[in-house]
Amino acid sequence: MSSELCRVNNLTRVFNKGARDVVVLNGLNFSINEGETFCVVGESGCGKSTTGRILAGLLQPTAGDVWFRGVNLAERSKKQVKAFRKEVQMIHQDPYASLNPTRRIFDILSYPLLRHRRGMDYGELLESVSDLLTKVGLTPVEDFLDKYPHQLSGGQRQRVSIARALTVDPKFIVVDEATSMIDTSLKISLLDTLTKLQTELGVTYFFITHDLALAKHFAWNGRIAVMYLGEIVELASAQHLIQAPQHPYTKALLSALPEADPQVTRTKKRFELTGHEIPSLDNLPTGCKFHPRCPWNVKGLCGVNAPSLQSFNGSCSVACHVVHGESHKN
Amino acid sequence: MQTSVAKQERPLRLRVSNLSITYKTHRGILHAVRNASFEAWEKESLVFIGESGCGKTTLCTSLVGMQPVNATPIGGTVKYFGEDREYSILEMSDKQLAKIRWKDIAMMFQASQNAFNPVILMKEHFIDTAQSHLVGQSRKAILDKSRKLLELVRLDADRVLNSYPHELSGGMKQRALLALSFLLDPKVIIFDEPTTALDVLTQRYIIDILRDLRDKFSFCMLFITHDLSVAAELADTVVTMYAGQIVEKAPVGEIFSNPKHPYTAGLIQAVPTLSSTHEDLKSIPGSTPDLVDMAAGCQFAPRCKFATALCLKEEPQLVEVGPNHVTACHHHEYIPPIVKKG
Repeated sequence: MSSELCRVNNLTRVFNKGARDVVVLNGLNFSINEGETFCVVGESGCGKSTTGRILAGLLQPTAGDVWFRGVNLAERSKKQVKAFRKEVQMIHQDPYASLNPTRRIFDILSYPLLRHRRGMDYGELLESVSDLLTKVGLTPVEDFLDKYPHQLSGGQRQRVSIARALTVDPKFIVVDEATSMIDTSLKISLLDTLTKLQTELGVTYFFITHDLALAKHFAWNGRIAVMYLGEIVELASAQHLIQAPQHPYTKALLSALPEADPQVTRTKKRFELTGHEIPSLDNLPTGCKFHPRCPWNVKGLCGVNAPSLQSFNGSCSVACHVVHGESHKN
Repeated sequence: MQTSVAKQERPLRLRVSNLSITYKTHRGILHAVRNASFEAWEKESLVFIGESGCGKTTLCTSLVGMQPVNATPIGGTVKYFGEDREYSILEMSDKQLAKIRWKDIAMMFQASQNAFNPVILMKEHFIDTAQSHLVGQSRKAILDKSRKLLELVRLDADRVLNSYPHELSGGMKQRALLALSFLLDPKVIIFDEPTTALDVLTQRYIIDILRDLRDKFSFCMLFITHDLSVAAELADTVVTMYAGQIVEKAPVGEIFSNPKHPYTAGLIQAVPTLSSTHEDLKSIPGSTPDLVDMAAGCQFAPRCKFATALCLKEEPQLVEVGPNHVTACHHHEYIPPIVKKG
């Protein structure tokens, strides 16, 4: 077993919305090993990006702590902060908002190099930047160096974001829906580039997506966590989660996903939910947050007690009363 | 063969012949759509697939005369066959077009959740739309119909009609827009990526609703997507576009098992699926060609492993390779069928 890189204990984040508090993350616990791919899936608003931002050190948790290489993020020295920023990078979701519109692509990619590796001359910089652009498929490089972000398409900007995250040879990358605007074929080749970095340099990924098929492809040897309204409802190895999902929400997600094969996708067995609208974070259901939509809902139990994430059969962790057989005890 | 027999019995709705559209750019003329021809019949769903910039949106917006201002159709015809007469879309004035838009041909644009006016109630959208086409309908009659449609897309009709757009979630807005597009019983509906940017469960919900609606009403659906799994769900016929050209067109079952264009085959092999146990996804090497400074020969040749000297010299034309199956490839006989994974 490889060593632990990152651990979160009871991670909670509350945002203020006017006078009210909105709980976006509610007591997450998990750890990520060095060289692992840890994938998070879930619908919008489930807190997956917030978790990613906290792990990347861009947002402070309201309660609970994050440990990186045995150091609590809240108690770092100035030197440790700088080392952390070199080791940990984030690829943001929205490439329209995350690239400075007044800088050229060359500037965007060379600033982090100058910040973390002082004393590079122009020739070295140009060479490094060109390498990065080639890596993410923005060729011919000369066409892109002097462009501004507004001259690029969504997919091209996402590739610049990916290249920017790779500038400082990070060891841990938070990838937030980084390929959502890129065409399938290129998407696969970019993910392969990321996977190659992992095998060669042992990079660890925290991969955020809403596409389970993509999660399966990218995290084939890693783990997938399914989040629902700020909580992890199921956590298992990618292969196990896809082949033998336990939580009703995971089952629903997997069965709802269309597949690129007309025969398979039109005869696919559905796991029907009883409700279609995701509850608002302002007004969360009591007990298990999934119970208003859950076909397994047990009256007097699921709406009252919140299930905790517990190991099931030793192969995965699930937060569900019914899976753990607690419903029969009542 | 069955589909081809069934097709003849249904009325033809659209016929596009040799349509070419160019954009004026500062670098020169960009050939966005070249020589596109296809037909669409009542109750048929035609799904256009291809990477960004392949011309699928330009092609479909030109069917309602809504292409961007710098786009010029330079040749070809677009014929729409209404109940009583036929229309040549490209020769119609804006005023004439305004009459058939939404009433005969409706179009839902990309990111169309933002299409609603934020300062008026949802019900005013429905009333406005109906009254601009059908003079003299009472508000009550329109609202009654709107309510029925909103229930069809499984929304709480009264709540939606009395809300402002910002009070609805993205998925709800998308469904409300779907209801709105059916308000005037159009014969052709064009959807441009209606399910992207939606969550898995919402996307599934919209796909199911679309399929329901298609069984209930007899419209013809043109659907643009880059997501092959959505195509597999909804299409009767799949049209692959590459570099502004239609390179393959076939019934959905055929194209996913036996594609006859290397680009279609490449796309299918690049999509991750859940059903397979282990997989080796292949991306298509290279990048899309420049549509301003176009090379001779087949546009896909530089990325194609089947390419020969012939491909670099001579552009292939669409040829029939099976029932309702056409492809533009010199070497289509060498392309192996897709091996079912898992």
